[in-house]
Amino acid sequence: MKALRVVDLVKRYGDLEAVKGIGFEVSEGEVFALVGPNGAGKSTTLKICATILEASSGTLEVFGLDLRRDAAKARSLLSYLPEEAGAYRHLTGLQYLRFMAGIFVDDGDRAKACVEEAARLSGLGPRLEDRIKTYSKGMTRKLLLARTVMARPRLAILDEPTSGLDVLNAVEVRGLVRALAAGGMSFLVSSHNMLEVEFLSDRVAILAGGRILDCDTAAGLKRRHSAANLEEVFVRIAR
Amino acid sequence: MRKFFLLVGKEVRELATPQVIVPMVAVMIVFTLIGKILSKQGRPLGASQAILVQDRDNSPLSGRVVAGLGAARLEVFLMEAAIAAERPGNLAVLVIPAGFGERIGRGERAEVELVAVLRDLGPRALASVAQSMRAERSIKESVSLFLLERKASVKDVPFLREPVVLKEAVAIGGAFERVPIAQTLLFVQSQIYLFPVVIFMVILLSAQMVVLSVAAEKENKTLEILLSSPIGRRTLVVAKLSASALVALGFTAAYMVGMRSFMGAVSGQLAPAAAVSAPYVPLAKLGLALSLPGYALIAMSVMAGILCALSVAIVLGILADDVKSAHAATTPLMLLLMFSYLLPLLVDTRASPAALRALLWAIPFTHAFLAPQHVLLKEYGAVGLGILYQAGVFLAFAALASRLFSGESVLTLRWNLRFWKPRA
Repeated sequence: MKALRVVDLVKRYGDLEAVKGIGFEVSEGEVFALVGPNGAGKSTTLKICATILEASSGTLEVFGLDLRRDAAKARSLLSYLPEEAGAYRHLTGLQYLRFMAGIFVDDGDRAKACVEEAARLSGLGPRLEDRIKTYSKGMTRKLLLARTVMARPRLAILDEPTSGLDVLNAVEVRGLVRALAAGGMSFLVSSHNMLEVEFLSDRVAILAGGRILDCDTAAGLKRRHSAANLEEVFVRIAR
Repeated sequence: MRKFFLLVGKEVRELATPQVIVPMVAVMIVFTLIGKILSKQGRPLGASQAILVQDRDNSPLSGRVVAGLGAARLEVFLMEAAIAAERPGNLAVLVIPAGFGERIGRGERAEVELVAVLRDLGPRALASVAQSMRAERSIKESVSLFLLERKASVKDVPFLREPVVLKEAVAIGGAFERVPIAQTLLFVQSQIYLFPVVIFMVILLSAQMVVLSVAAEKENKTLEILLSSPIGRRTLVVAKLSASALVALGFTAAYMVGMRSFMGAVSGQLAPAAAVSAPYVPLAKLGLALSLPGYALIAMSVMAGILCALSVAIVLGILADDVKSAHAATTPLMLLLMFSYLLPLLVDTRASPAALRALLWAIPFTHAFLAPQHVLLKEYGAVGLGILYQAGVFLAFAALASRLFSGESVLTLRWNLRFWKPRA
């Protein structure tokens, strides 16, 4: 069964058509990336997959559950990290993780285990006892990423997961995503950083103007377009 | 200097956004509207006040007393007792007993009775009836002049100064007690002014808190995380309403304690402590001291008003893009609140045109503002109906908020202020 199946997805905001009939699939344990410039329709697509926006038309399934009919059920299978999201500033990192574990997990013991796992994944150590308002952007992002994956969702949707992170933090985050995918978690990731995506993802869809211009593994795309990297691929396709 | 003006220009452009200008214009409109309503209601405070006189003496002296009332800017209506019941609003009734002229003629002090009949506890209505106290001075002056014209003896100076004893009484909601009118009005006014200030502050702060909370969740995208979580959308709305209602309760308690202490201090300054505390027992007999059920009824009405504001505020918060625009989003609520707070303080709502009263009743907060008056007048039905109406408004807006949260509107709906195009 596919983790995510998107067929002929269209999203309109009034007269503006942000997504123009795109389709792709994400397999279990796969990291699938949507790359493209700002305004390409990446975030809109991710928000629709995360059930917070509604598709104007098209079919979306998360592990076989139709998002129009079974959005509530699908939400228990997925977890979403918005781009440049914040957290509740007056909570400590640990309080935030406990709160979110309570939302995502019903069983008390499992929730406790999730918090411990998230605390480890975040790498924030004793700073988890501090209020989030004292965190740097990188620390907040790592806390939120740990929150996203702590309940072991079957599909994690990450919008620009390394946005605003320095090189070391970005490398850590990429390593974490790869390790979790190796454990069977599926990822739908968006990024405008094509070099990062080349390292991170199993397959890549290049999105521009609300359409998928091409979709393959990074190596397949480079070979097909005789390019040295994904940036070159994008430039050639866009022309 | 050029750089200074460049900076000032930049600051003005940053500050004079629709979020700042819209509330300013809105406040101006509300005050203009209230001014127009006031001017149409006529009769400014300080104009002549009607007093109903029952002259049971019909002597030359009583006639002189009645004529003197007119000179004291009191509009005199001679009447039979039955007419009093037909006149709307508050009444001041002066009763000159039979034998009044004879007693004075014998050099004995005579009594007259002044009764304040309270049917409207609005501040303006209370202020009007308070003016009837001018009658006391007028009566004494009339009688003294009458005696001087009859060549009263110089040794009768104390009698000339105080030839008449004024017996004061207040009638309210079927109860009648001999209590000083001025102190009774002072007590009622303190109750009537205290509650609206508390209610206004609590509703405004609670509503702003919710609008800002929803706007902040949208801006920080914490709302997106919650919307994509397995928690029910309706649960999100109910949790937000419950939490903000709890905080609003805390606000209410804090303001009530603070305002009671403040009003107590102010009342103590207006009259000697003994004078203020003395009339408490008669006031209780008049039904003016709020009982526990009375307080409970007012609290229910206030809470219903707060819940209305919170449910409206959630919807307004959804319309806000971010924290900055949240202030503009609060404007419609602030307008309604100001209108329903100020108007009953400034006009006789019971004597207002039906359209104005309908407009006031349609605003759910008015019922909370007027609940203390209704309870003091034992108009429990009006409070009950008000609470039912407020519950209806609350449920309608809670359902609307729940509906907006259940779809994508919570993220996509926003104020359209595109008529405003700041210079690039």
